Amino acid sequence: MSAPGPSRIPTMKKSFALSTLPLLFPALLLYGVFLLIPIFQSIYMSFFSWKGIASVPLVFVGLKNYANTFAGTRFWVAVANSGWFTLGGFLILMPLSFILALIITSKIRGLRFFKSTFFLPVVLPITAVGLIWTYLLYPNGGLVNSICKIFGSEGLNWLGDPRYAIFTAVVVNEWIYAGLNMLLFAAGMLAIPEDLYEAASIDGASAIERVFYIMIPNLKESFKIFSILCVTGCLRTFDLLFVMTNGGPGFSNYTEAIYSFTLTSQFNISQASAVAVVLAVVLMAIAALYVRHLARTTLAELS
Amino acid sequence: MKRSLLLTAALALVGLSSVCGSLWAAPIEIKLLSRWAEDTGRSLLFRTTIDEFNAKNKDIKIVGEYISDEPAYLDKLRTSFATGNQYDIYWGYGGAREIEYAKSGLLVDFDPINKANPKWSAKFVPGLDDKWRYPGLKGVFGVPMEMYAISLFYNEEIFKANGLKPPVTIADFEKVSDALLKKGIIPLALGEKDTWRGGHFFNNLIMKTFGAAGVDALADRSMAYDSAQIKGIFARMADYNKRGYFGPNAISVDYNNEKALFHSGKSAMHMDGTWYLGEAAQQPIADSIGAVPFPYVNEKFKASWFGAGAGWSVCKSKDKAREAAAIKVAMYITDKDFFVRAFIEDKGAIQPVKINEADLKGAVVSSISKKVIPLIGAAKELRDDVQTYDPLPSMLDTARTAIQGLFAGKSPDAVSAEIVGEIKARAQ
Repeated sequence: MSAPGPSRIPTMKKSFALSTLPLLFPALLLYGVFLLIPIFQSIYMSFFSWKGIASVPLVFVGLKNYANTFAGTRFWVAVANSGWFTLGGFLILMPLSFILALIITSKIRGLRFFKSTFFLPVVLPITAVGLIWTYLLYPNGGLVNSICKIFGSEGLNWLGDPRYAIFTAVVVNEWIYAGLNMLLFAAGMLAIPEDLYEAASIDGASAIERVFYIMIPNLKESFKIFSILCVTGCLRTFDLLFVMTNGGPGFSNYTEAIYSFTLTSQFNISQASAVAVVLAVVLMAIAALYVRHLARTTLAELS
Repeated sequence: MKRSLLLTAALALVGLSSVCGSLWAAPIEIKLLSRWAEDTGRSLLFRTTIDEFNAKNKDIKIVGEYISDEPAYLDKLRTSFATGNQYDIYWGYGGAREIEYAKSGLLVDFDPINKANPKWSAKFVPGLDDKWRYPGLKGVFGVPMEMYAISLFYNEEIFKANGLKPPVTIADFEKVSDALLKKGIIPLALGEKDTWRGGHFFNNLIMKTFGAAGVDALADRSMAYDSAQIKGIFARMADYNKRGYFGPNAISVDYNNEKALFHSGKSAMHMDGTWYLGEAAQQPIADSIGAVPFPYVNEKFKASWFGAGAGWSVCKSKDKAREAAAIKVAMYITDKDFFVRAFIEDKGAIQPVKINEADLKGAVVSSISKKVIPLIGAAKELRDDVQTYDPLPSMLDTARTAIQGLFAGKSPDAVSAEIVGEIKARAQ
């Protein structure tokens, strides 16, 4: 019996491919219509000038929208604000989520209560959370400033003062997402074999040493996933900041997404597309770097 | 015989199907977009009027959408034009926000309709449709539905208790405000979290300092946003905010909070438009609300008012029957009967038409409306938001956002530079 020629596809594989394609088609259609087409439309539109009226043709302007984007102050304010969100993610959200995960994977009493309480902000709608916090942070009679008054301080204009507003929003953001990231770390913690802790205990390691020398090194993948989710999520920040501040006062609380949205309100859809494309390129670059790093690490571990 | 029977049957069938077809023909759906979403006053009356029209007219059905929040409304409107699915009739303010729609030939010109229906068109207050007339374009692309002018409302009891008179000049306003601050009362709470509040204060200062000519000068750039005159206006607003005239942390207070402060007696004055009259009439302090024109800076412009009209524009359609139906609807909802009913419903809210005593048949007019109507009657010139007349559609948002910066500590120079920067960027 002769071996099959290199051009012959095994019949099993071919029929499998043919049978799966129709099953994948609905998902691919949705993906194409609601994701790919708008993305390519935005990229296309970013090279044109358009008045925002369907019957008015687009006018090709080359890279002018990108030049205006990079030349304007608002874009860089937006970049800086996204940077603050990202920094807050690593300095506040990561340790906070880690500590919460430690709590819910421990053997303390009332675990169910703690799990529910820590996860509750995640299930609340962002708009509702934003509005609740806006009223809590209200400078004239809000709960936070009322508490400050008890301690002899007048409090601050948390969301109205451009010096503090972005940091206030960052803290609220960490409060919302701590529960979700807590689950990410908790899943990683539960996957670490108990034997490692037992062996460390036998060798005389304290609880803190077990955390630093056993737990954290074994949570490398969880930290990697957190990092990529944190960076990409922070760069895409829109809803919370928009609800709480509308991007203001002025444009001090702009993020790229809010800036893009504001531009569409000003009939500047083309430049809004340019800002969105810049954001998408940055996010794709980060994702590509991560995937490349992941591939290299996996190959290194396999070899 | 058989053939004639068949022919008769066929003809009868054709006749029957055409009759049934017309009976069963779906009514022409007219999509209408409005901001009148409230469940009180003229908003409710308007939606009732729509239902009455639908009940009376089986060949036309108005399908209304109502969004009271302005930014959300504008987003809906702009998206409809961007996707080519514009509404048949929409609520608008004319001016820069809609000039592109008119230039693109998307809007119905009401000039020939006004001429063909003199009884219907003659009732409107003259000049209100100016905002729908655009330089370089022949025709008028809107119909007034609302007339508004911004007054200064004040709490008569607070003023009386503190021995104060309502301000006539801007210097009076400052004296009164300083006196009120000493008593721990907010002089004029301003909800600058909503950027249009600061924008309206700016508009009032422009009208009372430079008159309509100032508005026109900003539009044609003969007066620059970074000129000494405009920086002076910004500096005045920043100074008032610093002194506390607008209340503590005005930038965190929104329009609803602002009104609540006035209604609860914590703020002595409130700057608002005639759309507020219906709401004012329902407040516990209704009978204590007084009104004066916004204080003037330059006496020459004491009768210059920030105000204008708002109304409907009708979009052209390839289906001429649909376009005709939309025009019919626009004329129906702007019939004098509605305005008289709205006047009665809101106990005297200002309407864009001339209403006689005989029309009112003994209707109750609120005390606040009785105070405001003669004030506006004495106005010699009206202009809308300054940026309505600007050639750049984005200027309204740009200016309001920049002005908000004054309340966040930005200098007048920085605010001017921001606005001028936008003008330069768009000019390239």
